[in-house]
Amino acid sequence: MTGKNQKILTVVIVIVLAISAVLVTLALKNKRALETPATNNTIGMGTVVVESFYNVDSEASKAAISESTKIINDLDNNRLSWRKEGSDIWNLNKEHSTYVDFTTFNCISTCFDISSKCDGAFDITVGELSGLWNIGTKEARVPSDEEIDAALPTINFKRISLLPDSKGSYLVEIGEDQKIDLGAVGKGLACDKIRDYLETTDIYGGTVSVGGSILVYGKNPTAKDNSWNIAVRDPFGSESDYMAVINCKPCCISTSGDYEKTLIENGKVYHHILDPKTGYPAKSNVTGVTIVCDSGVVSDALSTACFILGYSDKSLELLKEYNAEAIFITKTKEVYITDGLKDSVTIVNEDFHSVTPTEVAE
Amino acid sequence: MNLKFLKKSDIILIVLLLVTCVALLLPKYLGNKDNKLTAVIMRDGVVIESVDLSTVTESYEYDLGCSPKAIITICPDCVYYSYAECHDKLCMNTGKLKKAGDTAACLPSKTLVVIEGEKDKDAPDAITY
Repeated sequence: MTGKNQKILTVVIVIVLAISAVLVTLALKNKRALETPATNNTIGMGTVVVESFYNVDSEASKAAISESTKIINDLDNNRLSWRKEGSDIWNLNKEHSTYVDFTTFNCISTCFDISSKCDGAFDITVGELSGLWNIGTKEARVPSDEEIDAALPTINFKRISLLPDSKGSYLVEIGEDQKIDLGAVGKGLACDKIRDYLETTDIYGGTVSVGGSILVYGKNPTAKDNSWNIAVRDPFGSESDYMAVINCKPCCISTSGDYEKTLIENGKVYHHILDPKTGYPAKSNVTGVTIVCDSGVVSDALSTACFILGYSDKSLELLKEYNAEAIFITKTKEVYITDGLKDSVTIVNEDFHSVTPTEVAE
Repeated sequence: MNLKFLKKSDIILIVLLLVTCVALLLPKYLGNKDNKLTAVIMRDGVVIESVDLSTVTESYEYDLGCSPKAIITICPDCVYYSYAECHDKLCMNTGKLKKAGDTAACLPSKTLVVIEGEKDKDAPDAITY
């Protein structure tokens, strides 16, 4: 080899080494950045919101957090809350016939569909009734039997008329005596809207909890198979205790439980899930139901419906209609898991035991 | 292998590059080893106080300055709502926050306390309730 060739070879080797060293450093740094989520805890929709996003660019994650929070507040203030003056539902309850945003229209339409498939076990026309109880607010009280008897006839989802027109406006009509309450599905709708938004960004993956209704989005960079682990709260423990973990791909997860919001009067505990048929908190054979499916509104509505119906053939049929999976927890800590979810759930508290459907006791 | 074509200065350059790379990466990894827990206290969506729990030697009370009145107690290893004038006292029932990610909120007073820090590897990504 001539001296000149040697020199060129040396320079090439050094350059190659330098470039690969820099590339490895950058790759490791990116991996590190990707595996650290940007997380935000805040209060929205009258509940605790936790947003956690993974992206190489933490500024992009932070932007997604602030946009998600905006989506939640916008839905609450302008669309869903019957307590917020000027919202779609506030207008609807006042005028009984009003044009609403497409998002609100779609949500009411999905709820209508679910109500008709469960014979009204879940019904968004419970507004009169839930306004009497007001559980979860400081005005909460046990209404008199007369008040409940007066409210019951106003509950009937079949009296909702959904009238879209060709010009792209959406009219909703309800009975003069009726009131809509979307409280059971608002958190799930927020999850759906946030997912729609995230799909327009380059966020790698993340989770959003709107008061316990969970959006599981994209890929988890910290797991080998990019899956996520969502814990199910222990109905008998404190807020941070959980009894099982669901290993899942992107989905929406909602839970309804009788431990969540309660009112105690004269030593009696009243929970917040009202049975539209009786007007009182639902007497169910379960203490909590968790639903996994691909829509937040559907998972929210189904968790309410399945809590009211309890673990029964009716709830299992309803779940099938929507391709949804569920975990039912009874008051004696028995756990029923639907077939599609069995392999993905790990019970982590041994006080709870999984029971197969053949052992169902009516 | 004949390494003669590599001059002393080349080897020094390579070593220097490698050392620089390691030096760039090290702080990131070392920084995560001491898992610092910070209690972040928010009112109306704004952080009003942030306390590094490792600097707390004795428990003390912190008035959140909100209405209805609420007070939290900050300890060396935890933080919790110790007093609240709201109607349901849900914030007090939440109990003591000890791990990264633990959250307690008092909705009537729009206050929230969260422990920030690196989560355990096997901690779930979220909890449904």
